[in-house]
Amino acid sequence: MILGKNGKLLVENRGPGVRVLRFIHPDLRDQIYDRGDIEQCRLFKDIKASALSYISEGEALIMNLGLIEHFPSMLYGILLKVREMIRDHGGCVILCSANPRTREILDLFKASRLFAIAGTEGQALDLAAQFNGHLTSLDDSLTPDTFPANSH
Amino acid sequence: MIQNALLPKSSRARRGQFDAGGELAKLAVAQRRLVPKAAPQVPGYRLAFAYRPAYIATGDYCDFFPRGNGRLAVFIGDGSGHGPAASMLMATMRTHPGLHADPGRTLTDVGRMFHEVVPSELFMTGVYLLLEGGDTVSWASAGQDPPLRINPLGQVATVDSTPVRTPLGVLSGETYPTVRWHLAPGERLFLFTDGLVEARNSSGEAFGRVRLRRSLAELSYRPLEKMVDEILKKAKEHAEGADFEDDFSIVAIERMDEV
Repeated sequence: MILGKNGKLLVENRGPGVRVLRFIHPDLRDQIYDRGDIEQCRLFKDIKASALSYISEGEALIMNLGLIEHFPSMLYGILLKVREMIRDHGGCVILCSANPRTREILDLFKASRLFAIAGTEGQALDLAAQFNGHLTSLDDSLTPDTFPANSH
Repeated sequence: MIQNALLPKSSRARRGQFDAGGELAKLAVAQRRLVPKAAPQVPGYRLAFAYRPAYIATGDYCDFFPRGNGRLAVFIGDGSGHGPAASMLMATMRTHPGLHADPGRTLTDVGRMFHEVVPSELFMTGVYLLLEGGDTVSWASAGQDPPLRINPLGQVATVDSTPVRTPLGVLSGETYPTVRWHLAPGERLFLFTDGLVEARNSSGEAFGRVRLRRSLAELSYRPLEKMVDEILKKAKEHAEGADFEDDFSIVAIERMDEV
């Protein structure tokens, strides 16, 4: 298990090609707005060092948003950037455990078209176990929410 | 509450600690010059407008585009981060006169241009609305709350976010549908960016969309400008007098009685 340098996130291996990144602080704004640029902000640098320094092919990265109380737009930008990097290796990003307010924002952003979104970390792990890295859709009956077709 | 104790007073970060070499201050000057000072006059409609930047350079963008023949286009949106996305979109929308016809087509074209020029992690949410003349309004939304519709009885219509699509810049091939409404005299529309509903009290509770809808219903009998002022007052009271933590913009529109 890796604790991020600034103490705001934890990364844990949960099996071959499956990792979980948990944000462990309710308000990450001071880690995001310290720089004007997403790639230079402390949070992204921490994510990069903790979870993106090595990305295995076809990996599923679960990002647990459960403790986040404040979800600024730049955080979504960070998620998009992480998704881009993971997808470059044929992988996927699964968001989970968003509180109702965060889920409202994700729904408005139609985030389910880019990310798999699960209600709980357990459900996310189930999705990750089914993800075969070949960019196929999952049978709807297997998904608690939706799993994007990865066509974008 | 433990979580509340962990919420940082991030005023330094909010107020521009990251202002790299004063560049954001320069951006802010340019933005202030371009932001409308007041809502324009449109035959058959009353408009009210409020804009509150919370940072040196704002992520919000609100603009009006007169289209002639009594038509007016309105854009209200919120860029990720505080400045760059909004300024890029402002430049795009103001320099492409071919835009500003059908709202869905406008957002589709703008979104494609935006995707081509901005980094992948930058995006803009927004609603583009067109007063088409007469009783017809049309709108399209990119990741933003649809306009709230209030009838003369003070009833706020249920929000249908089915037509909402992804924020501008996120997907290159995104297409945005146009929604068309016919407004009765006295009907109002309320467009807003999320900084308004994100105003929080000391317990961390946001003003929220439910409270906003309730306030709009309660204040529907007030003149339009007063309604907007009172909404702002309620949000500020909810935040216990603290500064708003995020930029926000409001455009309120009322269809007037036919002459």
